[in-house]
Amino acid sequence: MTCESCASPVDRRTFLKFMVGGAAGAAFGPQIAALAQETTARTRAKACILLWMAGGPSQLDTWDPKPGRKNGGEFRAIATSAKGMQISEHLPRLGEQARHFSIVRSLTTGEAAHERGAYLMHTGYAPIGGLPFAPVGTIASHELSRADFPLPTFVSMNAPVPLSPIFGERHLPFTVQDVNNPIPNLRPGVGTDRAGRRADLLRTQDEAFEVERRGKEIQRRHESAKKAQDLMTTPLLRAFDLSKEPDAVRKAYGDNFGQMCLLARRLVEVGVPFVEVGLGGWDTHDNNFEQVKNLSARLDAGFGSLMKDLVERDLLRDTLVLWAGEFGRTPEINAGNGRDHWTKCWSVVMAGAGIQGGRVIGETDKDGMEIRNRPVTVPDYFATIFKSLGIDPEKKYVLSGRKVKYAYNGKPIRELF
Amino acid sequence: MVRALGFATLAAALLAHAAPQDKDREKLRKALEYARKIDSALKGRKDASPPASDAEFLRRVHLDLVGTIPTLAETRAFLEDGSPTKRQDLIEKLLASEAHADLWARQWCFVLFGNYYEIRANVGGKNVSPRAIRRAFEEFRKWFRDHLAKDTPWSAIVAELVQATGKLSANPVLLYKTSFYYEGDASLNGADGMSKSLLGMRISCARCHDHPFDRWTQEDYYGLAAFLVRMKGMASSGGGMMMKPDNDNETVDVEFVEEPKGELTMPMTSKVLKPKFLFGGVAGSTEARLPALARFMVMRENSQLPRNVVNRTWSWLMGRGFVEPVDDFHMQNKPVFGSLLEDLTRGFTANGASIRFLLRAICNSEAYQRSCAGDATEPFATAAIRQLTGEQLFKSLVTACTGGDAPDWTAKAVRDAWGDFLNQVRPLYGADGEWTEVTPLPGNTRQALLLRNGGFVENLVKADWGLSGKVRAMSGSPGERISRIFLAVLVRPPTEPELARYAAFVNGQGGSREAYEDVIWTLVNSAEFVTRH
Repeated sequence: MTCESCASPVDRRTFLKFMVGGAAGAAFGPQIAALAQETTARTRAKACILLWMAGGPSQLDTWDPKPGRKNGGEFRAIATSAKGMQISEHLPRLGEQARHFSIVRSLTTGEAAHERGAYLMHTGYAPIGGLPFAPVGTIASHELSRADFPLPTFVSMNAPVPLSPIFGERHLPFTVQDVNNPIPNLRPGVGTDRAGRRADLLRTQDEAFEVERRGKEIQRRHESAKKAQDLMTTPLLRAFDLSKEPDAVRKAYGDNFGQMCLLARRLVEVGVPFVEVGLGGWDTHDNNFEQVKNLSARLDAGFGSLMKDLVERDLLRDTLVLWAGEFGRTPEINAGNGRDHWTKCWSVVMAGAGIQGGRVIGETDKDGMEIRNRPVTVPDYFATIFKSLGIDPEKKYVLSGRKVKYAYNGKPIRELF
Repeated sequence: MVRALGFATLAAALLAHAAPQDKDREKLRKALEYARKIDSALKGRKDASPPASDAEFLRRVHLDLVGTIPTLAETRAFLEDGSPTKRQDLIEKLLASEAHADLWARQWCFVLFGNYYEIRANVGGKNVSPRAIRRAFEEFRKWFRDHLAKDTPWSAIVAELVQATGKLSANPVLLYKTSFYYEGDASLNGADGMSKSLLGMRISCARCHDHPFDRWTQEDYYGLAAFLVRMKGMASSGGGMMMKPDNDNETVDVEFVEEPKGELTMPMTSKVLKPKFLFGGVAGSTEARLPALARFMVMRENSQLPRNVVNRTWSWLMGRGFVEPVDDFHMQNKPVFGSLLEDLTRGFTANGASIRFLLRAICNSEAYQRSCAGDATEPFATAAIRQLTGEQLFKSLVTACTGGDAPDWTAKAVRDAWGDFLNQVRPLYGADGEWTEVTPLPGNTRQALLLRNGGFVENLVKADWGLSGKVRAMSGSPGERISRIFLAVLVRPPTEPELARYAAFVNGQGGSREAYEDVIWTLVNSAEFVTRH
């Protein structure tokens, strides 16, 4: 039995070191936290789009096909625009874009339960006793955004993002429920002049109350009130308006998932550093092939169009695109013509922001049961993400008096750069 | 008749029929002793905030104990009351109310279940029907509410939770155990869950290795889980309930039994762990394990059970616990004001493990009744400021904008509005938020937009039947109308500068209806309104 509570084997000494650092860290807490908040200077900010596949998508039926083998199942494999890379026949548009993205086929993890696996793949850490580890979106938002940027800097759509208040209110995900009404309650219910009078009264009323009251709750409310005001008036708000896109483009992206991908493109175009878009339904314990085929069509339209647009608009250079779920699925097909949870060797896709396209990292054996070469761990995956975004993976934040690295001792996958 | 009875017997007879007020007075007296102990332990900090005004206290104690601000009528009555014991009397009145037991039961349900709208379970490969769970939860929270209303000793409540068996449909208390049957082994989930909610400790690290910074070893962990290893939950067909499962993969009832055999082996070894409680206590070899666990949980030697209740209750009223996080007691996590924590723990146990004792002691203390204004950063030197919960915000908005007596919370229109409001509040927490109507709102940008521009608030602000209409209909100067608005919304009279500012505004708009609506809108959107302080 593996230790399910910890991401990697931890011994007492390591934890004691944690705690000694913690005890001292608690004394220096504010200073260390402040250090962790200095953003590194950069000339051009990068962005990241994470496509989150809830349920645990089957790798053999998407990115790591095994044609001709029993485990390969019902789908065929197709050649792509990347030499030597084959993927599922149900991802043809992505096949055309393959020379722009790369597949890691040898990811190996240890969390086979949905919530734990999702937590691990979002934060780089297994859930430990309710400690709020920061998900990649919060870190990216914190590192890559300007303090005065009027739009939300971490937008999430249909994805279960772990919440961590570690860098403050601004870097929690801003959830969009409905792409056609992404920010509800944006327009005042009264005319502009009257709204202006109200805003003035409110500002004065709050100033008086805040003068004598410090504390983070008042600070948080002050920030939200200001952000709400900014959001109501910024011209960048047009990025949220999908009706500005030509019909042909909206149609190409496809269904609601695709529309969210389109919105993600618009948001990174105007400088939102992190957008997460979810496509769920991948937990195919039964009737795997029909379900995956349907999901693949939706994925192909949305992700395929997104890649095409990012390339054509020269955005891929500065935009990291990630495709991942909480784990993969069993190579052996079960009695229900389905596949169950599988963490031993599965696939993620990475593209953009310095990641070279058209590459395959790692191999599984001919039946998809073992890693044949180049295993990749979750810390490696995160180190790669941060390197590509220009963020130091060794940087630390303070969590309950303990220093936590962005990527816990991972090594960026050098073959991708 | 009197001559036939001995004097002692007569006295006993008289005492047995002692007026309930006398018993309550005695309990109050004991609690007030502990209020003095609290103040004694916390005295002498130079940066402590001054005492809260009557208005500050009134609003705060209402929000904390019954989940809403007072009505305009209640506010006027309290502020005008000259009695020297009015604060103490108000506390007693609130504690005795139905609203109080109802609210605090749900707060404890959140401790036991997390988001209790999303309880899931799977027994024997079948999902427990969400409808069955919803119904069981309704009964569970009523069971808990009734206990709080009667001020049942905490140890009795815990014993019921731990040793219950039978069918969920007949005994909703079993919902607690049902919740362990989700994602993973039920006895291990139960060990984790009970430690966390009943003892305030996170011991799940010790599943794999000796706890890195606390005293618990792997043996301790599995020794605790061993109490639960013979507990078995099975899919059942639902006894007296008329529910049918939606499909073959579902069950509408769960039956819990304790099997006569079954042992827990520590993983990666062949070592059998006997049931041994964390704070001492080994179950006898022929003893049923669940009742044994209950016995050890509530035994006098387990001071962590009452300590956890004291810590949580304190954190709800004072903004943070003696130990933080409140579910993370461990050796390296030193409490602040540790000897006060111990004093209150002993006091709680000595006074019948009564939650009401604790609430009386804390709410009547000077520490609880400090103002929130000030620069103090030390714990408990100033009143805690927190975002309102969804329930507090809704009820306060409706109460404020009614501007008179209490709204009828059971009226269909109000219940529908509450449902709508919850639907708008849910997305504020984000897809993964652990929340219910009793957790503080996130206080984020979306929430600010909801309150500023949302239809719900706008309609309340404009309501003819509400504060807006009453202010228009009343006779009096702009100043008097503005005062009424302040009392209804912010539970206090306006300051001189505020009176001047708003009178100027209203007069500048010709005393129009819209001007008064704008005043109401401003106050319900203010930081002062949307926080508990």
